[in-house]
Amino acid sequence: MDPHPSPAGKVTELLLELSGGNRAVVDELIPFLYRELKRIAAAQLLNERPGHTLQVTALVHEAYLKLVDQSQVHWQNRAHFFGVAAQVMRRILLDYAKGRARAKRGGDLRRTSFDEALTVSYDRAYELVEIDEALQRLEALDQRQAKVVEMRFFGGLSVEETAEALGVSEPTVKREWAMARAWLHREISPA
Amino acid sequence: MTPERWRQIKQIFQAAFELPSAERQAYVQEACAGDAELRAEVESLLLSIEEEEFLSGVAASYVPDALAGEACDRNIGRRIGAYQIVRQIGEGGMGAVYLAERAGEFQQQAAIKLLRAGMDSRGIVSRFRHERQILAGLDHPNIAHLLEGGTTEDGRPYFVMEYVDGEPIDAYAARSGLGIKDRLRLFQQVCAAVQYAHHNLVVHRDIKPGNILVTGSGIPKLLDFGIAKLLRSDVPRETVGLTQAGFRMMTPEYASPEQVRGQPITTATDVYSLGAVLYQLLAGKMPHDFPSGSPTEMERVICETEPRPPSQVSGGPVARQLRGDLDTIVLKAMQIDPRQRYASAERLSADIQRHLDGMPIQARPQTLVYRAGRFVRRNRVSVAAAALVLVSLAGGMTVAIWQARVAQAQRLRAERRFNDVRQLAHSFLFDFHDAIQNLPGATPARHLVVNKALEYLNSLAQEAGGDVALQRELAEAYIRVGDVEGGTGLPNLGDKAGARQSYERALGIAGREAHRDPQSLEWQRLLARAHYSVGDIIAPTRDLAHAMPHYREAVRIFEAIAPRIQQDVAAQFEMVGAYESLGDFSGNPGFVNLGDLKGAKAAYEKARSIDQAVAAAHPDNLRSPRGVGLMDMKIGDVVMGMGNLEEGLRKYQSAVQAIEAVVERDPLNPTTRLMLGLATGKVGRAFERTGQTQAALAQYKKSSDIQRNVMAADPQNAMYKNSYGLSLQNYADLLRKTGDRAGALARYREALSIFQQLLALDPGTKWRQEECADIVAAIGELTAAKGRK
Repeated sequence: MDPHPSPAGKVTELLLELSGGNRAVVDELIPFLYRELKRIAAAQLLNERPGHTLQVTALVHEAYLKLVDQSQVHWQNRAHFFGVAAQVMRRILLDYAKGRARAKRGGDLRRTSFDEALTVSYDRAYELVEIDEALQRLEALDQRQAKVVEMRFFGGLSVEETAEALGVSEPTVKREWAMARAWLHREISPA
Repeated sequence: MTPERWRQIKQIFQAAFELPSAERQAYVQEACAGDAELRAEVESLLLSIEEEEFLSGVAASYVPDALAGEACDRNIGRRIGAYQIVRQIGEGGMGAVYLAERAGEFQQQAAIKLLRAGMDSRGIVSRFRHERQILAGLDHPNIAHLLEGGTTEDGRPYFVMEYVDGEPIDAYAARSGLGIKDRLRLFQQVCAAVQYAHHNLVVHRDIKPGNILVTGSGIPKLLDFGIAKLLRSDVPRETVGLTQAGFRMMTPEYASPEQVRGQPITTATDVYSLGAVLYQLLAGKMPHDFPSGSPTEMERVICETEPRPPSQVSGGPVARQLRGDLDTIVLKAMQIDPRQRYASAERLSADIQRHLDGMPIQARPQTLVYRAGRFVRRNRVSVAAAALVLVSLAGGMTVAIWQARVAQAQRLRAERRFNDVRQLAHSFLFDFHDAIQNLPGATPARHLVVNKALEYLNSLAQEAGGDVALQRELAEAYIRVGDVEGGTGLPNLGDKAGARQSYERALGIAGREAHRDPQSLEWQRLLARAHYSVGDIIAPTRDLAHAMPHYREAVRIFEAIAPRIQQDVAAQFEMVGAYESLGDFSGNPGFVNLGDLKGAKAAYEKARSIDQAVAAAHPDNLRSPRGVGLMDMKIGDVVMGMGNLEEGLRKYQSAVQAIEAVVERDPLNPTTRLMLGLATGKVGRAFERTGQTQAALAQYKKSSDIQRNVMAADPQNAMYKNSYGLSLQNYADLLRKTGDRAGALARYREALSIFQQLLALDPGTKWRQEECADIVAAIGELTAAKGRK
């Protein structure tokens, strides 16, 4: 046995365990995906023209291809992978957005040194933080609905991929998505 | 919301969602079956579906930079030393900070500071080699440990530190809603960490909230200890200013003046930054404002202005908690002059502890002058106590002076200090001295106060040779000290030698400055004043050859400037003083004199006419009518000396009349009362000379009674003593002549004991020795006569 399996070997192993029903391995998968997704994003963007839109779906797919030994897995495993990837994307984006939102609200920028000052570009970080907070409340009410939002909105997965990952029908995903979207919208709209 | 309720809503919503939108409302109404709340809930959700834009894009489009920001950062996933970079957690002027993991072990996290390429990497690496033992050796629960450091294969320096998962101390305090006391305790832990590092000879140099992270369990950790030093650029020190590259590494809000100026960094630098952090923690605002944000403005603000007290910027109920101790503590830590700050982080923490314990803190507010001034106003009467308290209040000032002197590099700061001390000296010298000058018993207090002022001024003068205004104050201070030590016409301590030295110093300064600036009225006045003061000290020693030129010079100067000082009452009095002294020693029989009676009379008449003019112009002024009385008295002396006894008596009587009028208006003034006693004695003398013995005895008795009262109110006063002694002597002489031996003996003995006390104070005074000898002889004679009887 190789005591230090390659990331791909390790991820595949974990993914199989996850598909076997061991949810606990998600925590172990996350750091691998976190790294890989960021690396792929960086590489993607390097080759793009400025001002392009990042293709999150492509990102997740590429990560899957890189991290998972295709010969060992089924399509269900792929869906599970996408589920975890969406979760990781959510974390990546929120890590960034929270720092961003804090900076914008708190005037934190003045505290830093001169030459790092103010490369502020317009973003909707604060909005994203709000959505995430509302989504956490939704999780408490309806875990499946929250998962749908995580996969579609954060992970950029299609209805089909979301249905696959959750093991439900596509109409169900559509219904859940519709209600979750309505609920979240109402949550974050000013009363 | 209950899960049951959620299921209900969800069921109805999703069923309605399947229907064409036109049919939804009817369906919902039916399905909710009269449950209005349920219906409202479902309807509001159905309304929200119409918001098609909402969540239409992916989350990544909300923060396009989240991934793009690191797009060019190929360091993600990179291996550095034993670590692999996971993600960026911060970015600064010098590079970026990453979260890293020890390869293959997720649990072992670290923060890696990876510096920009081109940052003097060789210098940093060699400095790091020098210091890594020390830095890596910093082992304190509140200091994030430095794990390793080096350069990457592409030449970028890096440091690996313990990863602290926390938030900046100010954000933590705000989010946790910490009260002032909890903030102080949290801050004290930071002080402890800084103190520990200082003990290990490491200065942080960049203490700021962003470098003090508080973990989830509430433990503050200082990051980046000693890193700033490693990163310093090798630009020669004098060229490092705000506009230079070196400064960019600093955080201006928390940077100390010495850092901004590129001056040497010491542990006091960290104390300043700690103060700034404490300011932020307590006031919730930064200590300094840089409205334009330009480097020159920042430099000016940091190096020249003291932040407003935290209580004044915080607002709200917290202000009350900050006012006083905490304002003082913060501002003490943030003094512009490093020497004025707390000597260590530990001292800062200790003062905070004192505050927490309800004990008096050690830092002193910077408003000494203000407080001294207030004190004088409140305590005019309890003079001696007031003086003592004042002087002890100012005890710190000697230190302040020293600091002002050594801090030449910190010119502005020193100047401020300088002016504080100067102002204090000034208020001692003038406000306080003048406030108590006429109060009985005030002589020792005046001496204390004036001496203190002189001490301050002397120290100041040593560092500010060219400051003319200061020189003037110094000259004035010397004159006042001389006055208190042994001056004429005012209560004094009888220390003639000290007085002479003081006056001569004043004369030296005034002579030099008047020579340099002959047009200056101020210097002419001071010079004249110094001249007659020196004369006044020398003349009683019978050394008229040295004394008279001073008087003549004084009068000559006053005559020259007379047209320019007509409106100046104080100058007029000085001029009167000069003429009076000139008269005294020219030909007043009561003084050692040159025998020039005419000259003396002329001088007195000149003085009298000035006093009269002032009295007419300023009816409220008491000194000028008293002066008129005094001059009458002295003219009487001279006229008597000329043998014109009748005119002498008239002059004396008009003197008594004039002075009595002033005593009525100002009964407590000892000088006026003394003068009344003297004039009364003179009337007695004139009666005696004209053969009216009983009238003379009555006047002598009245005179010595008045003077005994004056002396009793201020027993330390040498002049009062002398004067009372003389009145006793005159009285005794006449009693002896009339055959009242017992009455004479009693008064001689009292006079002798008084004169002997005075002689002890001033052993060199020849006339006093002679006087004592005369009295001893008289006593001996009377005692012998008594024995024979």
